[in-house]
Amino acid sequence: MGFYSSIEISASGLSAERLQMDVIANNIANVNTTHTPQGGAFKRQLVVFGEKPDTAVGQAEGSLDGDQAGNGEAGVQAIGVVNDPSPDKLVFDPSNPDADARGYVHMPNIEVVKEMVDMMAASRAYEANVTAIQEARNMGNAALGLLRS
Amino acid sequence: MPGTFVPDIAPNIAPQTEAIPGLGGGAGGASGVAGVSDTATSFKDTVKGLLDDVNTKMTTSDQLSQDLATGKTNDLNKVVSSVEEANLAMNFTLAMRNKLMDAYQEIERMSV
Amino acid sequence: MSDIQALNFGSTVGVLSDAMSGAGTEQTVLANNIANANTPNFRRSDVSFKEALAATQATPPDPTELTLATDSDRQMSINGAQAPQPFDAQPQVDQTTQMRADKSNVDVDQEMAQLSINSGYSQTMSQLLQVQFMRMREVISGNL
Repeated sequence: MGFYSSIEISASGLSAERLQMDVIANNIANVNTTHTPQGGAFKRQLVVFGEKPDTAVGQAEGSLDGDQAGNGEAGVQAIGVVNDPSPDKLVFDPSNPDADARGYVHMPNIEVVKEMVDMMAASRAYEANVTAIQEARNMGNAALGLLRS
Repeated sequence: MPGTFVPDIAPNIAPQTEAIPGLGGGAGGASGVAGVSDTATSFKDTVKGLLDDVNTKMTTSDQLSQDLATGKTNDLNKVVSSVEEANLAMNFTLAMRNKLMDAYQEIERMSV
Repeated sequence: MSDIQALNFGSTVGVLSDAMSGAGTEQTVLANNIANANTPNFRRSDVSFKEALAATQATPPDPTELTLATDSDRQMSINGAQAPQPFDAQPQVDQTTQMRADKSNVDVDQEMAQLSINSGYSQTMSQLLQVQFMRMREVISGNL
């Protein structure tokens, strides 16, 4: 299998982790947002990842799934960014203009500590993908080194 | 290239190489042509078989290099190993040709 | 020895050096994309030089299909042999990928990965070209 397609697969991982970081950063920034254009408090967002179907990668010889184009998997793609359906946190504060009838304010269902842990995981995954790309390059160079001597 | 370096000495060398079992056996064994027996084929056929083999290897390696360039194949390892094989085959043939020339010149120098 | 086919040094050397020049163009285009990573409303470009390379090779006719008879190079031939085209790789603007919030379609990770791939490709072509020249030199000098 060529090392070009391996780099493209790792690149899809890089893009996916970067999107995850963006979403996490957005969650952390909006941890106190009680007012959104859709009404109600800000809802925590998640990214849903899925395997990317193999399209152009499969057309060249030496691809991941042999000679069938479009049947293999070639990396990751973000399928969508969805809202976390878990209930809002309720804080009793009648003086807040966003308080409901009973005096409770709906706060976003975001735990900053959990977001930080997710952020560390995404960062490590990003670094792992970068290492994978570097190793793929090293392997290609090692194969070329055979011709040099 | 391949048409130039097997000179007309080949038919002259053939009788001598039967007396040099190592050279005849070495050429027969290393040519890679299947089923070469050192009694039935002449030296000229052996060399021709070796050259055909080298030519095939070089054409294959050129074709694979072009396929890698245009993106028809992505298998770098296959291309590199075929190129290296072709190089080695050609180097071997060149070395053999040099040795043959040396052997011929040595035979020429022998006083009758 | 007259039935040995002539070795085809010329066409491979041509294809490999065209590949290197195409990779050079791609390098410039990718560097431009990366430099404009934060420019709003920017459209990335790319160079599809591998297709241009494939077009420089004449394709033989497809033996399993009926071909359209032609008597001039300028007529289209369906399933027939394609004459080789000169190598011409131009950058094209890519309108297709997903837009960011600032209407730019540059994804820095993808550009960096393509840069890495392109650099590896260019090194491979350079090595293969060097092997071609080395073979010619060996044969000319007769020494290894």
